[in-house]
Amino acid sequence: MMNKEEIVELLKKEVADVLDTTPDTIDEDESFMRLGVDSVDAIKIMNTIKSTLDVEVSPVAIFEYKTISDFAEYVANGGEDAE
Amino acid sequence: MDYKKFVECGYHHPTANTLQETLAYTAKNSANGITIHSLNGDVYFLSYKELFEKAKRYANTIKQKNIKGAVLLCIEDSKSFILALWGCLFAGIPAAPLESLRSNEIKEEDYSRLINICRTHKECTIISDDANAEFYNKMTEIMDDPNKQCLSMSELENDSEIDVKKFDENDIAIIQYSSGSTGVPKGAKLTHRNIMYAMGGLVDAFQLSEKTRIAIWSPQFHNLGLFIHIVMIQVGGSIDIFNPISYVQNPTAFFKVVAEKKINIITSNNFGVEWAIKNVDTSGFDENSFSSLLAYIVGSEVVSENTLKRIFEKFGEFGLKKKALKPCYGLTEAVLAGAITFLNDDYTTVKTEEGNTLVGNGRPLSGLEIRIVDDNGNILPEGKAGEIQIKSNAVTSGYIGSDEVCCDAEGWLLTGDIGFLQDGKLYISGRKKEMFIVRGHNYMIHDFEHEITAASGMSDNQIALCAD
Repeated sequence: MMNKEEIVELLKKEVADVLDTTPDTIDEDESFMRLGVDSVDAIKIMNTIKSTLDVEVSPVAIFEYKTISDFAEYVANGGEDAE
Repeated sequence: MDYKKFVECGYHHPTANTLQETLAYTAKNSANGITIHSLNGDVYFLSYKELFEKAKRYANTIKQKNIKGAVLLCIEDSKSFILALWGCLFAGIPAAPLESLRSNEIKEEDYSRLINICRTHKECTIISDDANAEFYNKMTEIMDDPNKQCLSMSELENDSEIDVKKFDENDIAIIQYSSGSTGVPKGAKLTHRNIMYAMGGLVDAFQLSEKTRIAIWSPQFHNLGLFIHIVMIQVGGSIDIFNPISYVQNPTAFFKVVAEKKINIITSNNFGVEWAIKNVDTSGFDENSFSSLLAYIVGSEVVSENTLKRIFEKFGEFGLKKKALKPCYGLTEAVLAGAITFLNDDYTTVKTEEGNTLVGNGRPLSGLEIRIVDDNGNILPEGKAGEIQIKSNAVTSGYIGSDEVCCDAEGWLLTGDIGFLQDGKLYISGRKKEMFIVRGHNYMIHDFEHEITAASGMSDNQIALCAD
C-alpha cells in the first residue's frame, strides 16, 4: 500500500493527464473544482485509484474530499466509508 | 380522443384516456397486482389497489415540494420504482426512467450520461433509492444549479393523498431515453395519448385481459419492463417482475415461476433466450410445465432464427409450443413496438439473396401503419428493402430539449431502420442509423470510433467504422 505522499504524486499525475499539463504544476491543496477537474473527470480519477491501489472508495468520497491532499489522506487510511 | 380508426381494428380502454385513469379503474375492478421478486429472494405483492393509494400519497409529496420540470427515476428496486413512477403520474410531472448508477462501481460514462441528461432538463429532480440518495444529493449539489435536486424514496412518504384532478391526454407522461447510448442522450417525449394507443395495440395483438398472467425480468427503466407493467394495469391482469441480475444468476428460478404460476406471457431480448438455452436446468420440469405459455415475446435486438430453433428444441418437450415464439420489432419512438407476431400467428422466416435467414417481426400493431421507402422518397412494393417508416398516434412528437425532427411533414416516423414487408410481415435487414445493439444497449458507431481512437492513441479521423 502506498503512503499518503505517494498517493498525492499518483493523483497529481492523473489530474495532470486530465488537464493536459504536467504534475509539477498541480497544487495539492487546491480544490479539484478550482483546478478545473469536473465531476466526470473526478469519477474517472477515482476509478483509476480504485483499480491501481485495489482499494474500496466510496463514490461519495470524491465529493467529500475536495483537494488532492484530503483525498490522498482518505485513501491512505484505507478508503471505504466517507467522513 | 379520436378512437374511430382504432375501434375499427383494435382495443381501447372502456373509460380511460390517461394512465392515471387506467390505474383508478383497475384498482377498483381488479384484485390482481404486481408480484415483485427481489434480488435477495424477498417476494412482495403490490395490489393495484395498494399502488393506487400509495401513488396518490407520493404525488402529494411531489406537489407539496413544488417539484417542477421532470423527475429522473434512478431507482433500482422495482417496487420503489413503480410507486415513484405512478406518484409522478398523479402529480402530473413527466418521469424519465433511468438506469441507477451502481454505488459500488460507478463508471464514468454512465455518470457522464446522467449529468448530460440532467443538463437536458432545465428543471429536474432525481428520485433515488435511500441507499444512493447521498451520492445523488452530492452530485446535484456540485452541479451548482438550484433547479437540480435529489429526493430519496423515504422522503416521498406522506400521510395524506393528493386531490386527483382531471388530466389531459396530451400531457407528457414519460420521457424515455434509449438505453445505453453514450452520445448526446435523446429522451423521447411520450404523451398519455401516445402510450394509450401503443398499449391498445398490444392488448389487441395478445388479447390481454384480467386473466392474463405475465412474467418479466427486464428492468423497469427498459421499455420491455416499463410498458409491460403499464399494459397490465390497463387490463388488470397479473404480473411477476424478476430482478434482471437474478435472471442472469439463476434463470431456472424464473422458469420455475413460469411453470408454477401457469404464466401466459414472458418477454426477453435475444440474449436472454440464449442465456436460457445455455443455463436453465430442466430436470425439475415436466411435459406440461410451459403449456400455459401463449407468447414468448422476443425483441429489443435482432432476433436470430437459430436462437428460436434452439429454445424450442430445449423447451418443446416441456410443453413450449412453437407458436408461442413471438419475435417483434420494438422502437422507443412508437412507445414499445412497431410490429409484433400476433397471438394467433406463427413466426415466419425468409431467405435473403445472400442465403441468410431473416426472422419476421410479425404484423404492424393495430392503429399503426408501416411503409417502406427508398432514398428518393418512393414507396416500395412488398419484397423490396428500404427505410421503415411508421405512422401512428403512438409516435412521439420529438425529443426533450431538442429541435430534431423525427417525423416528416405527413407525420411518418423515419425510423432509420432498413427492412421490407413480405406477405404483410416485417423483416429487418439493416440499419440506416449507424448503430450496434449489444445485449439490448444501443451503441452509435461514432462512439466506437471515439473509444478506439482514444485507446489506440491515434488522432481523430484515422478510424472509420462502417455498418455492414
